[in-house]
Amino acid sequence: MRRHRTIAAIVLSALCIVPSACDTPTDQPARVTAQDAYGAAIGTVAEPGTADEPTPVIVIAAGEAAVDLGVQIEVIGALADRYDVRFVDTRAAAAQEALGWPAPDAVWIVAVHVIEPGATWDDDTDEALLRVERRRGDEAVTAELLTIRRRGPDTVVVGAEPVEPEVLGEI
Amino acid sequence: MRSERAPGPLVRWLFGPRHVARLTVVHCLHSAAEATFTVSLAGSIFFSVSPDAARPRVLLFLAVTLAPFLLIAPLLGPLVDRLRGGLGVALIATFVVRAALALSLAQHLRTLLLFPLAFGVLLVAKTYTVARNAALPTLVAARDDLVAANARLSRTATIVGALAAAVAVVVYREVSPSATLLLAAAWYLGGAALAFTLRREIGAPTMAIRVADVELVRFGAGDAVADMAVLRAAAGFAIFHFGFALRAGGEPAWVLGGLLAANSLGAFAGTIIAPALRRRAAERTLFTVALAGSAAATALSAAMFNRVTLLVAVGVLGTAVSIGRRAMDSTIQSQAPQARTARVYARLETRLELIWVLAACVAVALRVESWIGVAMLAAFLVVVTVHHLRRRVGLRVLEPVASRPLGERLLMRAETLAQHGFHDEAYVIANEVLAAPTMVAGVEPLDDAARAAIERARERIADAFDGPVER
Repeated sequence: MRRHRTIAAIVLSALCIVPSACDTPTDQPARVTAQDAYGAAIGTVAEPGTADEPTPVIVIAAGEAAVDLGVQIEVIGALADRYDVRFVDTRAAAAQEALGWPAPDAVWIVAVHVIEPGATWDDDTDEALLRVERRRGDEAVTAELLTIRRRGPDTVVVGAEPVEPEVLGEI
Repeated sequence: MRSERAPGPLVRWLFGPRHVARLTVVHCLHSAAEATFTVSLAGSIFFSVSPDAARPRVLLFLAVTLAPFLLIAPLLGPLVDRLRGGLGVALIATFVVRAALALSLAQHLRTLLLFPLAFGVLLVAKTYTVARNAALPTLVAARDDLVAANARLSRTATIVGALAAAVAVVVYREVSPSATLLLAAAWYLGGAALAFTLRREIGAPTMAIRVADVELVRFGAGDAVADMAVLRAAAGFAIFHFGFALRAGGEPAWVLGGLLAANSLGAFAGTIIAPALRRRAAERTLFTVALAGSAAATALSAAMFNRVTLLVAVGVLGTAVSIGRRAMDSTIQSQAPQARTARVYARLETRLELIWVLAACVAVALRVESWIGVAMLAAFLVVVTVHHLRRRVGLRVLEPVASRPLGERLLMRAETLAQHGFHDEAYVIANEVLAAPTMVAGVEPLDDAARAAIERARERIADAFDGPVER
């Protein structure tokens, strides 16, 4: 009887120890998440404002699919002290939404490619490539392919390559 | 010696006689809280996320809202019957739960929890409406006019709601959206405290429920409920369709706010227009005006779609729903007096709320532009109005009820009784009618058409009984 209890105690201890061991931090770098990538991209392409006067940014998803609702909420919350971010579904809605702001010419319209939540683009380099287009008022549209990487606790844009605009040109 | 002063005419116009005045104040607190809650949502994440991403989540929560109603519908009646003061307790609970949800939402206005919490408030608000509409007939004295009491309740609550919304806008702009929710929670708690003093005054039903059920499916009352269901469906569709379609079209939040204000203003106008109309015309005419008016306004908006015509259409729809509500109350009062009981009203209201939610589900599931939604709504209302007019004119000119043979009318009565479980009475009536077939056909001697009429009547009764009826 005592032997059975001893075996049970060992098994239980092992069950407790194994998950703890698995939770131990490894040398693997943290991955870039969709919300971090969008946040870093917006922070790069539009000048930040202040908590009292955040910079208005309207984000459109390039393509048919919408950015995941949870990701949208994370991005809006993470940037709330510098940007007033709104997500819309179409270019027409973005133009209409910009007109609703007190100063439409100050509104950034940003088109991003949709990333699945939690996705990482390149397992070898742990970098994310995100195509972003932007325009403000009557300014010309610019488009860039951003390289995004984790650096410590932050997600930062480490490279920007100019590309041809595809989405915002027709607004 | 203390003498009680009689209330002045303005106080009576606003709050009514003493026995319903307290419910009126409770309803005003509900209205103030709901208006404040709605204003606070302007600062929520809903206006920052894309409609296409929010749509599945809203649809899910509408379905979640629908499910409890399907449960409530059969349970509310027996609960009201068995619990003394059950309706009063239900009223208090709806206020307390909403206060808790509003307090929780104040912490989560810009998180994913917005959706379950906001729909929780919606669900409980619907339950409040059911409980309040069921409670009113038990408070209104037999000699009082239920229609006038309901109209007064809506009118005063609309005034208070508008004032509360103005205060909420100031708090929203000067303090924060979360502070607006705290204010809403305070209104809800005030409503709970006052509802607590009401709980013993709200009575339990004493009349025969089955008789009331039968009365409700009579020609007049049944049609009134059907017409009201159409108007409620139109209202549910409109609110959710414009909520999404205007946002998807990039319209600013104030346009949606303007639509809600127009709807409330229309509802207020309805409380004044309906009694004036009722003095000159029958309840059916009120429904005709409500249906035709809303059909015309939405059709006009679809044909010349812009913000102004949309505001007008939504305002007219608000008026139509308000007039319809008064007309339904009046019809039930005059044609189904037994249905004034709380239980029957609770079931009726639950059904109407379910239809509202179902229509809202359709609106969210449809990804169409604002003007297409208006056109669909107009088409629906036009078809229903034409059907309503055909029935009305047809019944009056071509096929007056009284001109039907006595036997056929008795068979219809037997069918209704059988459908509601009065099998013994239905059986006796059906057998008596079938024993005298010329009465069914209304002609003498029996020809082929008369025999066919008898056969049809026999089949109808057999269907109601789930078995053959032998002479």
